[in-house]
Amino acid sequence: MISATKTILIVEDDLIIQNLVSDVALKNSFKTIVVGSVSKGIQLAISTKPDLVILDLGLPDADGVEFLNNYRLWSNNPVLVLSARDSEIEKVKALDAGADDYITKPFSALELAARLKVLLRRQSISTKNNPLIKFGDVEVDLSSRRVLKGGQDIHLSKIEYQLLSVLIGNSGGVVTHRKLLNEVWGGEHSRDNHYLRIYVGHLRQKLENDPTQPEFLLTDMGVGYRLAI
Amino acid sequence: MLIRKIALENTKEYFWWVQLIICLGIATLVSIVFYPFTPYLDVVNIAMVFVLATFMVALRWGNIAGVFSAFINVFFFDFFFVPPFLSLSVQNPKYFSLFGTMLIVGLVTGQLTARLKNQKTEALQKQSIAQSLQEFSRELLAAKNVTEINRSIQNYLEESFRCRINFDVSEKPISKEDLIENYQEHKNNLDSGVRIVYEVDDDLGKAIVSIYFKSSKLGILTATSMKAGLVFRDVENSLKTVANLIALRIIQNQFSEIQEKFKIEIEMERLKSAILSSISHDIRTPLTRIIGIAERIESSMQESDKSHKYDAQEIKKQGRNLSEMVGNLLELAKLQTEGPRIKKEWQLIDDVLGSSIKLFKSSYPGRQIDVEIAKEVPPLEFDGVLIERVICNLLENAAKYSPETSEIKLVAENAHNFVRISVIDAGIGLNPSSSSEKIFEAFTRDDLHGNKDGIGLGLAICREIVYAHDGKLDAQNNLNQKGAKFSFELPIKNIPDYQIQ
Repeated sequence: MISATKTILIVEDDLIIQNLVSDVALKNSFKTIVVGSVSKGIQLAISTKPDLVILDLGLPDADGVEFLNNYRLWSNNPVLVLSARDSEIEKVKALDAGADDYITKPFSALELAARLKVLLRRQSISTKNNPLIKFGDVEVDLSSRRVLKGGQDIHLSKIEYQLLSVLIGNSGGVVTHRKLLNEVWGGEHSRDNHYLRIYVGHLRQKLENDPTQPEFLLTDMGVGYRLAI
Repeated sequence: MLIRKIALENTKEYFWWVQLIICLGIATLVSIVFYPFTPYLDVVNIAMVFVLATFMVALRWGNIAGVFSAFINVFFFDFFFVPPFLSLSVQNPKYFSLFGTMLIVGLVTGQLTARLKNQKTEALQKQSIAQSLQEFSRELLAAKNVTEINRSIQNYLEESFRCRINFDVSEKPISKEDLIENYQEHKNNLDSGVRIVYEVDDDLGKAIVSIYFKSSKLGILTATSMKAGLVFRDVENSLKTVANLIALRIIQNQFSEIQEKFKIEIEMERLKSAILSSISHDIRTPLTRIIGIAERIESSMQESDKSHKYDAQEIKKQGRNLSEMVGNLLELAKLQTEGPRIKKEWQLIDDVLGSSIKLFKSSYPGRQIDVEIAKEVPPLEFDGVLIERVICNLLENAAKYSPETSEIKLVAENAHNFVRISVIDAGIGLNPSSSSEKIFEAFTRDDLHGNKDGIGLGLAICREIVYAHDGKLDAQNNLNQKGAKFSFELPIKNIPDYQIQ
């Protein structure tokens, strides 16, 4: 259970779906605020400063991406997109605009709840200033740049470590290819997905129990990678 | 300069007899005017006047008039001014040199004038051809078809070329396919300049210029002389220019037609995918409501109310099935109308196998998959999203038609120039009498499989995607054990150097 009650802003125009999403959040002891348009969403985001936003993309007054463009100017709190648009292009567009994760409709209540918790936990990890991250039998000490698996020291190259730390920084959410390439290699390589695949492959070899069926370093085909903690 | 100017000012040509009369008239006039001065002037002075007259005549009216004038003036001079007067006999032989001089002056001047005249005519024709070419090329810019091209030819060229010119399109123009296929090449050729080959066949009063673009014949330009024996050499180069201009126009017209077609196609595709995505959105919204509400009912039911709980679960399950079916239908519609939008990238098969299993497990969390990837499997060029879809569909298919606890194997191995990816189950297998190809058709299900969920779209989608990757697909029963084996193959290509680190 997360300490203080977290507030979730739901931007969704379909009344029934509003209600369903709100129910999932309430059942998990979050407070909810519900709006049906981008403009009201921005207004309420400013006035209530929610801990997390659940955002539909096809809204009556504008595209949800516009909400993201505005929101990302002043807030780093997580945004979960919940949309009927299921093409990879749409997902990448929303994620590149600053969304942290993406669920397509029809959604499952369990999955939605799980994703909400993961995103909020990441937020509290980053606010807790804890340098120690654990997933499976892997321990990463961000302060000393040490990586242990099953208690054994694992040597990561500079790029591998950087890649891992970007994924840790966004754990629970998807990081697009472009963002990863930008943050690890810098702008001029933002199209060389090939580099990325090779290094994610290396990380899996070193950190996963079964690199062919990874548990933590997951691929979102056509979108990016996520670290499932 | 002055001579040239005089010669160029008058373009009129008289018949020979008119010229003869003019020469006679001038000689008579000179004789009448100077006859009274015979006693006072030396005969050489009068001879100079006659020479001057010949010179002027030749200068003004050319070769023939010059010769006439020379002879007539010699005759008149001899008759009226050389003693014995009024007789053609000559006493002093010194006069013969005078006659000779007059003749030479007449001939040379006449010749010179004639040449100047020719040059002038030529220059004028060239100028008019150049001008009409210029006008023609401007007019041609607006010509949209052969009729309009021919109209421009008639309006601007025929007069100055002094030919009947006609352009006929070749029966076999460049094929659209060729144009589309080699669009960039053709366009570069057009932009860079040299591209048209022609043959000039000189015939009886006819010039035929075949216009080629690369190796395709665009058409034939025929020029028929209005006057017999016109030398085509004069206009040959200009005809080539005309051919060039026409060829350019035609190619440009063909390009713009194709571009127009492309634009329409793109617009159509945009419309189609807009319709598809709006249908998809409109269907998904009520489905989301149904599934969400069913889920809510399910979770609010007491454990004791088993039958209602089951009903709610069933609504949820059917809602999910429906949603999957709609997804498949839309996906297939998209694949078949737009063709697969393939975004091929070089990647390792491992990654896509892993993510396919992950995706599969979201619907079948309990099923175990046994993965075998041969070491020698090279990186392949494919669209990860689509191939993930294929593998996931095959896995779901295997899970659907095999016992829950049975093993599903996922194998990637090299097979000649392909990498073969197989999903092997231990289920009921395929009906041996149904063909492998039929299984992959839409709305087809193997009869052995009886009343299972789905409308048989999953495998049809697989087929579209694999074919779009130049791959192969087949289904057969396992040789030594029960169950089926679904495989597809992706071609192995040489990885380009820049992709290797």
